Amino acid sequence: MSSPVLEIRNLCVDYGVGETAVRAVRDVDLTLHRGQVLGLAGESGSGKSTLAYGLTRLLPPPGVVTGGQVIYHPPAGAPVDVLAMTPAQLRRFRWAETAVVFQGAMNSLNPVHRISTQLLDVLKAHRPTSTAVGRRERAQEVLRLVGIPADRLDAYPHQLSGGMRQRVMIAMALLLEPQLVIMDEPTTALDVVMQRQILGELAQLRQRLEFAVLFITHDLSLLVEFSDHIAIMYGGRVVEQAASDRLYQQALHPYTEGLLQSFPALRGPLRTLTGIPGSPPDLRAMPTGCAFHPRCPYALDVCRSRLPPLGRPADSHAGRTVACWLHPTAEPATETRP
Amino acid sequence: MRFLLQRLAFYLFTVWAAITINFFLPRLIPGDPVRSLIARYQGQLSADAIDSLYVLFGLDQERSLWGQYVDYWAQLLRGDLGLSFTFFPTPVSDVIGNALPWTVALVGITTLVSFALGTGLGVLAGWRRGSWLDGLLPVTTFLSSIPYFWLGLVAIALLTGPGSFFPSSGGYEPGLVPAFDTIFLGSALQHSLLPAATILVSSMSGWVLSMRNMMVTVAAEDYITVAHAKGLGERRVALHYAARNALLPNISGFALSLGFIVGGTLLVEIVFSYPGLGFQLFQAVGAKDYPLLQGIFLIITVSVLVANLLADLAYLALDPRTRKEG
Repeated sequence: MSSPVLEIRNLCVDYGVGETAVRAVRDVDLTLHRGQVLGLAGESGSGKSTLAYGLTRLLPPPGVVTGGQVIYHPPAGAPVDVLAMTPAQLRRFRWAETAVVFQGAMNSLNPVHRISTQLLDVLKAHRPTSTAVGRRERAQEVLRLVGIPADRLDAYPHQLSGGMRQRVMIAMALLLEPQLVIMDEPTTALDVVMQRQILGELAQLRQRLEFAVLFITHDLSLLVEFSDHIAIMYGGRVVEQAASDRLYQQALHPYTEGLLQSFPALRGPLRTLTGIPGSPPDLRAMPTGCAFHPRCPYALDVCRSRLPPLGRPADSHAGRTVACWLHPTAEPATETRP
Repeated sequence: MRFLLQRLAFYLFTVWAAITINFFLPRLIPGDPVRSLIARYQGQLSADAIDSLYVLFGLDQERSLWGQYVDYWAQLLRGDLGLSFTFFPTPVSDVIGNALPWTVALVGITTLVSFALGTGLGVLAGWRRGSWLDGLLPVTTFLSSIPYFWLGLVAIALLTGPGSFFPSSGGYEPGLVPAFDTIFLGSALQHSLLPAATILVSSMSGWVLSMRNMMVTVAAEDYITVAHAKGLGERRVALHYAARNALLPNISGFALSLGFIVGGTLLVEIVFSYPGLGFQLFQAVGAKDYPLLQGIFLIITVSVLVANLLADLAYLALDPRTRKEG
């Protein structure tokens, strides 16, 4: 269960080149294990979506991946670096191994083509030997998986509701049975009821089909419930990572604590929602030391001058990492998770 | 289907309105056609001739405006547009019938070619944004801001003259009899090269610019990213996802330009003295040839409307969102 499916090592992503370049993702290390859900949370502008686009090489210009590796481990065969693939290799890799469900449920489908065209062209591109009948059956099968009647296959996107469109996108992601599905705020455009429904179905599908999920959202409450592990990003860096129940019970980084206090708990004693004062850092002029120190209620002198390394905290359990001077690392960690 | 019927009703109403205005306008202008003919012949017409002219134009009998209106419609339905003053006594329909093929062939073909080439180049330039193709943009902006006729004048000044391959005016070699043989067609082709090139150069740039801009806009859409993420080939993403959507706004522009084919690119035809409808219109204005003007306006109105109807149909075919039912 603990074999990795995707390892991100020292990934750096810039917007622009040269003097004016802005570093949106800094030295991110993440490991995603087979069949697990890794949640990635942070405020707007923390670099979580940029990370997802960077590792799939879908980043539109002026975004540039400036360093690092993205190692994909196929079920059989040697690991490959996604960032070093040739265009042809990349085309074969995309969707077959990692599929993506994007933020905009409304705009992810091409408005002028039928759903069927958009589902079938994936199959046609990746399984050129398949028959037309076989492709159609597969498309109907995945639509049924997400609870859409197969006769909607020939509908146009504008004939479907927002929720149905996002289901179609999820169905599309499952077409080729990928090892990894990246979900970039897949339910943000939907109302909360639809959100809940779709997430519930996703959790079931994931158990049945056993794909790993990289789930990106700014809604930490959603992640606590839905994911196995959570990584918190701030100013382009991962500042804390832990199993989700442990993170929820005891957040180590003050930023995580702030995020957790930004939504109410359903049970337990009432508490005042505090939120986090201040606003996310300006990526063009990052604070020295820890990027969070201007907003941190516990900031020490050392926070202003030195960047805390991400590592296993000496004063806590194994199996989690944090980058904070309040919890100095036991030893400089190279691997993000044991 | 209901949508189509609605559109059709709208177009029929517009045609009716245009024809009615076409009928009333000349009657609001002081004077009558016979008086302008008299002026034209500078008193060389005898009293008998003047009388017979009044009879010929149907102005001898005191008819009510309504009666004239009904007669006008009856005439129109027979395809009778009246007699031209300039080419008296040739019927207007014959004058238009002679000029129309020239314009449709010259402007029609160049419009089609310019749209196809311009759109193709625009797709390429928009898709390969940031490549050397972007160097075309200032050139196209420059060319699209040049008026046709100026370009035509420059072309005449630079490329024609004694001994030049390109003739400076006319639609065919003077002295040739219009017929469908190689000599005449060759001559017609030779005469159309410069005007065609003029129209092509300055109208194509507009298509390039608008198509490129739409491509750039569409390329930022989520479904393009999805198409890339799906691992589809570059060509499929560019044509079926990006260009297919970017084309939609250009369709209405294209239909409008189809409608203006018949009107001709007036100034180009004047500059090259090309025997098309635009040149005819110019002559009709100069000679105060009201029946001819009316006839040409009618043809232009109808063709603009037909082009719009075609645009509606094209939209229905290309954009499923405009089809309400189904």
